[in-house]
Amino acid sequence: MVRKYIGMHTFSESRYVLSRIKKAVQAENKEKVFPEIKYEIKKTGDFFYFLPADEQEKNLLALINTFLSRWNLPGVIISNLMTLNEVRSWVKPHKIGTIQTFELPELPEWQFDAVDPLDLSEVTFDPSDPKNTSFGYRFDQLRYWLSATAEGSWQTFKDVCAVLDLVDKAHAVRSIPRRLTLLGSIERSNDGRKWSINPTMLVQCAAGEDSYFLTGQQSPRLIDQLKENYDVETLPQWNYQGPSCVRLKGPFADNVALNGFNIVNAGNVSIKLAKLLPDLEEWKDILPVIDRLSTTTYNIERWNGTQYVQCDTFYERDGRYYGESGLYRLTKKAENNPYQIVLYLDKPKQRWLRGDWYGLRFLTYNSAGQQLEVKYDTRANELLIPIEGHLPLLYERSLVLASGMLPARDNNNTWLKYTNISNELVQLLAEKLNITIGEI
Amino acid sequence: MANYDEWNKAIAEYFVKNLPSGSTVYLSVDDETLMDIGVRFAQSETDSTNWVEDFKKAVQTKCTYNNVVLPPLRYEVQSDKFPNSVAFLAAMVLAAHYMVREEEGKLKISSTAYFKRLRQVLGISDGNTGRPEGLKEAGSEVPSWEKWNRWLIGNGWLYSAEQGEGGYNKFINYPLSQALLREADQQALEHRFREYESQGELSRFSDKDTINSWVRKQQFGSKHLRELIHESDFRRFEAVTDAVFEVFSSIDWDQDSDPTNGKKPILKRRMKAELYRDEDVIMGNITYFLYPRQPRQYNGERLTVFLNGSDHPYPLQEERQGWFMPLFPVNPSGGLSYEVKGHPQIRELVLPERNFWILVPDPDNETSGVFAGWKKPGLGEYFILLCRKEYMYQMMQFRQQDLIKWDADYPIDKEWVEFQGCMINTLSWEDIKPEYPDLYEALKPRITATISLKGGLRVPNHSGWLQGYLPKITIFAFDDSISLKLVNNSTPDEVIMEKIVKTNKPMSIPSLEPGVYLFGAHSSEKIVAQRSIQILLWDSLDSPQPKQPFNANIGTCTMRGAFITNNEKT
Repeated sequence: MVRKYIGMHTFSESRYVLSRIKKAVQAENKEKVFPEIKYEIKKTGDFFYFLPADEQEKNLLALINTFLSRWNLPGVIISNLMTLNEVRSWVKPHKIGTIQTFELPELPEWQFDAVDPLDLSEVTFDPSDPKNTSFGYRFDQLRYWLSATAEGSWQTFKDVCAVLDLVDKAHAVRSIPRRLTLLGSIERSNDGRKWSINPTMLVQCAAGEDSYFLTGQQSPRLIDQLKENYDVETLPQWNYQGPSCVRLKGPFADNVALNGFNIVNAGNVSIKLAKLLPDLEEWKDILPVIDRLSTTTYNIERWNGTQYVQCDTFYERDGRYYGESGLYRLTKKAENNPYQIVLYLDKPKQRWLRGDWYGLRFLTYNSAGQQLEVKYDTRANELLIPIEGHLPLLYERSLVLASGMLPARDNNNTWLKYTNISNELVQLLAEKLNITIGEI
Repeated sequence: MANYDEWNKAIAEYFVKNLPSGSTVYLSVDDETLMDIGVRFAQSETDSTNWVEDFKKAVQTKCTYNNVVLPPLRYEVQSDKFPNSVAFLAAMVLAAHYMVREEEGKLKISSTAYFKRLRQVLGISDGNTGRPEGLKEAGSEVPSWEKWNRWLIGNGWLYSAEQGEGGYNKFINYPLSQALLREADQQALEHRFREYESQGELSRFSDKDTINSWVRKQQFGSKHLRELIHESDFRRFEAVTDAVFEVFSSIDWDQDSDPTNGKKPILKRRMKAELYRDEDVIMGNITYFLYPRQPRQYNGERLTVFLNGSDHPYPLQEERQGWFMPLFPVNPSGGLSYEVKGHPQIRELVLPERNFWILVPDPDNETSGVFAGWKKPGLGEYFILLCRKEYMYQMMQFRQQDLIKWDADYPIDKEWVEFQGCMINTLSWEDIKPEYPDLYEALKPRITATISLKGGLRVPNHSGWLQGYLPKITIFAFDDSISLKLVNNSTPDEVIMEKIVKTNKPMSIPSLEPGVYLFGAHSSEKIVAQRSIQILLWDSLDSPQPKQPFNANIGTCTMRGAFITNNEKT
């Protein structure tokens, strides 16, 4: 159907008039009736404009007049219905402009996530929420996607977890990168806002010489190749909380080259790492430091063991920080870039440290003189750590890389259970982190 | 001397290599292009081969016999994966270029005139006119064009060669639509640029928007050139602006132009850079990095950039198709050039002098928070306008006139301000008399619709989405509804979906098997937006290396996953 128009004439500044008509059309939700307004391109003085008109509409002229008067819009009807070609006989074609009355929708723009991605204070675990195999399958898909993408931002990571339906609560997603780091899949930037995938490696289980598992980059093709050539077992993580552990039966004396895949045999990484790890004081010295942070524009809260509470005892004067060593959350409410940052105040050395949230919490408890007590079952090679005593990431990584399995939780949600842990590994960590070991 | 297959590969590479995914490809082959491509075959610097004649001879040898045209077999693909008809199609475009030159001033292009030129290019001398033997059947060359088009879509680009709307140009429109700037147009433009540069009206470091805004105000004798610079087709407009700027940025200002030098290629000595914007939210700093584009001639050479007066090398590393990794922070004022080593032609990297920059979110990763000059913003797409403070009033006027909206303006320093969360508000920019025409021309939308794909599981390195996790599609337009068509690229005649859809509303995509598909949005029978989408099998995923891998610091060693490196040894 050819669209027809009613010609109008008025004296005024054209842009101003057209803008008012457009707003009136939108206010009455009449965008479908008047999807556009054609007009004579003229800066000032008298000009023509043309409203689209449905010739089936009864009392069309009355309708337009009522509309104009209701909104006090200028314009006198000067023509009957005319086609666009007839409009062109009134106004030269190159002098005809068109204004659309439809507005493009306000889409959510990318927003900076103001919460520190390393902050796990709100992340809780509900043991009465068992997951199923499809959950584990989607975690495997997450690992495949991370492997194919190789690197990216925290925002993209979160988006992908949402697409894969891996979390039901917004803050729960913050624990996923940590789990993948424990498994050796990814590393993160110091601020947690970027990630990169790790190389594919074969790791020897700590307490089973012939048993190996895969870490780092993995693709469906690689897994298929391994299954064709080796004795491969896929073990789900406890409660499907991460991508499955791909176990291979060894022994492997060397690296594995397989149809274009070259997998480095890293050996028993767990023990190697535990031996290399510094003690707690030395570890503090290698944590990233926020240099000369001016805290005066921040709202400051302190972790009291269960939650952040407003901290009125901390202050900064002449470049010196006054307050207890511990875990703090600093919130900047700047209009353009509000954000939160979680830091550990090392008061004796007058510095703010960044890092894994459980690690900073561990430092806090340690500085308060609390000593962690763990339980070790020598026969079962199992280590139990209280959930509140979650080890710093690097130290916990040496436990997870002993088996390729994330810790399980007991029914009361009080203990984390690590498997395949040798006595040597427990002793090494206990010494470095000042932990007391109890026997089961 | 090069044979047909060598020319075929070289021409295809010339037009698509280093071209960002989603770009529209024009096979704009003329004498100058052939010379530029031909020098790559040269055995030595003193090689005096006439590459245009060499090309014609190669095509004639392969594609003609006894005055009969033998178009390359429709579905044959060279072993290097390029369709083997590219050089033949290039010969068709060359004929179009020759014809446009000679038909200057005529209202309608005649089919007879076109085939006269094609006969000359193909060396057909049977004394007849019109379609030569072998192409007698009207449209018999179309399958070769369609094969090229499908190949482009299959590899992530968009095609531009299409049938004409009138009966007289139905089939010859394929080659005619590809002919952009001819040699004479380039010379006219270069002459004009040199003239006004010497008068101080144009800066050597002018950017693309300034140059094109300036060119559109110029009067040129050639009808073809006049029509080109006022092109209304959105795809051709972009291609012409690129071509005009290519002429400008190829000028060797230290050498006088030599009008007798017609058969020598214009050497592309400069590569260009855009801005790459990153934000450190903790410190509140916004930094603009020098972001080099890969030049068309780039062939994997190890290029190094040097700051003027410094020996410190900055090696260029590929970041993505068409772009190198961002280098170092720069002042947005631009007007900077850096020495480049490692390429036989390219000597410098230029950050053009600019009064404003339009920065869009990463098209491969829209939520990364990074913005750069990857492309022009489409309808419904947010962008950042970084401009000099004197442009603020102009922006306020644009907003007052309902042309644009934004969320916040943010001063960067004494000279520059950012308008964040900008979005174009209307297509109607006709009756504006801007104080700053360069900004007006850059912001004025040339398109009437944008196809947006958001969500789903996208794999950036493949420019595709994973099966089972497709994105939602939104057609941004100022009309209430639009016609949307979906075809499988390998069977384009079978329409999967064709319906009138609501604009500006995200819609689900029908479940699709792995493959490449093409969405086309049509309004009044005309195509107004295109977008290809690749659906990937999970099994097709590979494992690329990260370009900037992170490590965990464990004191004397660093760790990447299970890989431990001793810091003292490295």
